[in-house]
Amino acid sequence: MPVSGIVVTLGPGPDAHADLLGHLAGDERFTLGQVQSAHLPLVCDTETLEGHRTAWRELQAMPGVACLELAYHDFSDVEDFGARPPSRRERS
Amino acid sequence: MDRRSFMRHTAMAAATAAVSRYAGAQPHSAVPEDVRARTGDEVSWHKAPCRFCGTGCHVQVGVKGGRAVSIAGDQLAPVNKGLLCVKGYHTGLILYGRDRLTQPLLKKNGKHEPISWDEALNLVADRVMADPAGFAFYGSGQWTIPEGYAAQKLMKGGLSNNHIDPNARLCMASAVTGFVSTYGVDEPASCFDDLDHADVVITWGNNPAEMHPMLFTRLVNRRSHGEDVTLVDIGTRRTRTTEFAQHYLEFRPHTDLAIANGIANYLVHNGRYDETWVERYVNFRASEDSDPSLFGKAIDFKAYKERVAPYTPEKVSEIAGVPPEQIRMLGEMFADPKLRITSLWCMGMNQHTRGTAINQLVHGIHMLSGHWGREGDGPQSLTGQPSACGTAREVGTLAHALPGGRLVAKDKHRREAEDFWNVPRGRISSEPGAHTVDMFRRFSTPKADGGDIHTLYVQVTNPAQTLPNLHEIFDPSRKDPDKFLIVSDCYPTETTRAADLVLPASMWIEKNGMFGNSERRTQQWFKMVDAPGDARDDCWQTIALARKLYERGHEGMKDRDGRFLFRMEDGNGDEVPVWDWDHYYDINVDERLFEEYRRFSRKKHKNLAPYSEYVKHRGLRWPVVKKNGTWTETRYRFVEGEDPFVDEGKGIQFYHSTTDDGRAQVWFHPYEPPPEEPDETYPFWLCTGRVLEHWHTGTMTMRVPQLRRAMPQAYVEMNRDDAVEHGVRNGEVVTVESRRGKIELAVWIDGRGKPPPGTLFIPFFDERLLVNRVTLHAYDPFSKQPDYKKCAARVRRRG
Repeated sequence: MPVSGIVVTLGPGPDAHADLLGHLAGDERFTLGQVQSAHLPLVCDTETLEGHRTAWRELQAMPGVACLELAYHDFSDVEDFGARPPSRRERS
Repeated sequence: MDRRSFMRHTAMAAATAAVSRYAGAQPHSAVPEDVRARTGDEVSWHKAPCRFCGTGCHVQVGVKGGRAVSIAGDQLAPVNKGLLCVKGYHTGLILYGRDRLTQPLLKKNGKHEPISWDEALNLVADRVMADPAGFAFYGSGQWTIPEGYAAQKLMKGGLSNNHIDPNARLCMASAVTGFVSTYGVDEPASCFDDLDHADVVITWGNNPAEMHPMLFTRLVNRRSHGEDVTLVDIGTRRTRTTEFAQHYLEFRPHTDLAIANGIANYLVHNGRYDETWVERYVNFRASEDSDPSLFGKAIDFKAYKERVAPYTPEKVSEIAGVPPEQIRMLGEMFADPKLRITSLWCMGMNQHTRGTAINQLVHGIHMLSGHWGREGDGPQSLTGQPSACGTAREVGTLAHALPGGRLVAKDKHRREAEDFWNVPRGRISSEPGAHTVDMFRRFSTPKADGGDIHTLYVQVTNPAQTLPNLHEIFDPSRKDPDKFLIVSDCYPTETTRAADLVLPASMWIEKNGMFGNSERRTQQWFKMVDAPGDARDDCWQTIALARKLYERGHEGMKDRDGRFLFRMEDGNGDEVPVWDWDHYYDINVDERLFEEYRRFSRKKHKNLAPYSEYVKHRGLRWPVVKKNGTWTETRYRFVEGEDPFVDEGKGIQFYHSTTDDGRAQVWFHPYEPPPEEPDETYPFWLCTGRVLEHWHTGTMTMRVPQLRRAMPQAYVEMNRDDAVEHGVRNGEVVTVESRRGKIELAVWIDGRGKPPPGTLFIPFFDERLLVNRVTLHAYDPFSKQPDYKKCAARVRRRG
């Protein structure tokens, strides 16, 4: 159950901001902080890593989003980290 | 509060703190105060530079119960200001892969068997004693500064053997020769502050959006505030960087030289160059007619103008495939004195058989146009490894070099080093050792055929994956019983699998360390957690080997007074047996070595501060000098008011000028075709490189599940039209082959990168898909750096 703290850099144009913020506020995966100087702090909370990845991609693609940066991520709940790299395939 | 709520609050606090930083609020602490308050005494926080790239972001590592449990961007770090990229954020996890190497392993009958450290070191020492001249040391731009320095001292100051070279030979050697032949001294004169001030940023064959994301973020952030920053991407394929660019110039591989000459032509033939700057600060040079060198021959401006005359926009377009109007556009940009232009480059210009030349030409364009020496205005070479600058270049762990910018070939430099090391006169050999490709070729050649290197010690790098043309340069050594390969690393790799002796290494925050990033920033950290099993520091390994040789009576392990070469004393003046692992951390070995090393740094005015200063700061950019009682760093070299060594009234002074007149050199080089180009048999250009999620050969990042899932395997990027023509579908596994070898991997069409028709791209991070079985080992004649960016290949469908 990963949780991320994300900095969203907002694209130019206050109108785009309003639309984006409205959209995000209605999405239960996201908790919004206070916009400062065209940057929005946001928490993304999903049940699964796959869901987290989907949320990130969707957020990146939203109109009004110029850039995403990861400020915090809690990985202590991720599934058991013990995996090795996938086994070697036969090389030519 | 339940745990989930706690995590959400912490995440919001961290993100809000980062946003406040953008908004101008200055953080009071490295870690958001809310986070620190909530974790209380359970988690202690400590600074360190990130383990990965040459940007040198600082992280805060949260440690609890002897483990790294959290990573935060360091809010007090000027480089990254509290933010990290996706790799940086996962640096903590790189320590905890299940297959960490934990004990020395000796190959017996084809299988690695555990042995003791003592037995391992005795084996190595015996081989060195039998023939010291045939021993070679291959290191890394991921070596910490003390690690590289210890290896350097062992080889050159102890064994009188210059066969030591770093993997940085493969990544920035051409940048070095470019700097040295232009300014008389290595390393960028500018700094990352340029990205906060440039009006125009030009990326020359590099992809900072993926490779140096925290630097690229600075540009994106400025734009989000409404600043007008123009990005010009000059490349051989579209990348994520291109997506942000206003102008994209797609050129035929290798023809960047023509483009650079085209800009120079535009400036001088239209009278748009900066006459005052040229008159005051530069000389002109060209290669000698025979036996070219990095010194070249003097030419005058008239001769320079004649040499660039053929490179009209139309001619450049014919060579490079870039429309002439785009060449004129670049020329106009450089001709505008009001603009501030930063050029960024990395492997596209360095991994190039004319790498030295293209580096020289880009420096030259900036100087011709006067776009040099102001904030946001100048050429800036980036590096990929965390300490290619700090260790490989500054400590001089190259086969021809000594610490502090000195050369083994120069009598005076050797004498200075011998005095600093207190070793007998004549101890250091004047003969440059084997550079990387040569070293491995000699290691892969039977002794009877002149292959004089019999034992090769590799630390913190993976040559069985990174060397070009592996079939020829690396594989034969593994079939020769006379050749012995020792590899110190943290995880199993292609190279450890091939090794005769494997030594388990501690990594990153499992040891004390220091790095030097791309902008001359030397950084320090303390050990925070223990390494697993019996993994031990590379620096200790080197000192312990030296001690074994000393005990065997090798004269090179004694200084002038007959004392051990690596003698270290405690506060009472008593020797501390640092070669004994149980006593290695009785004192701070890093500090002892660094204080010895920093004396070397003054010759080329790369002055370093005392170790204790780096403990306090998130790095300092050299030269660091004492001003008004405070150790003060330097942002811009050679610029009056910024560089403490520039004489008053000089404005700009290149005080290490190769012509001893305070001037830099503007070089001319003609375009020449590459050693291998596509033809009927091999009709594609093949380029190799990296991806955002993985760092170099993936030894660390492929063991982080989040990063591996994001990018699970290598692929070949192919143009859609080419795929249609070959009947290849997206995801289909094909064979990519060259005159050297072949690999099979899946095609990715319209993926992250978009190559033009006739071009392929393969990232090199995947150990299961060794693209360097296919690449070419041709190298630049001056830097000896191989060209991984272009060779001829073909694609075949399977079956």
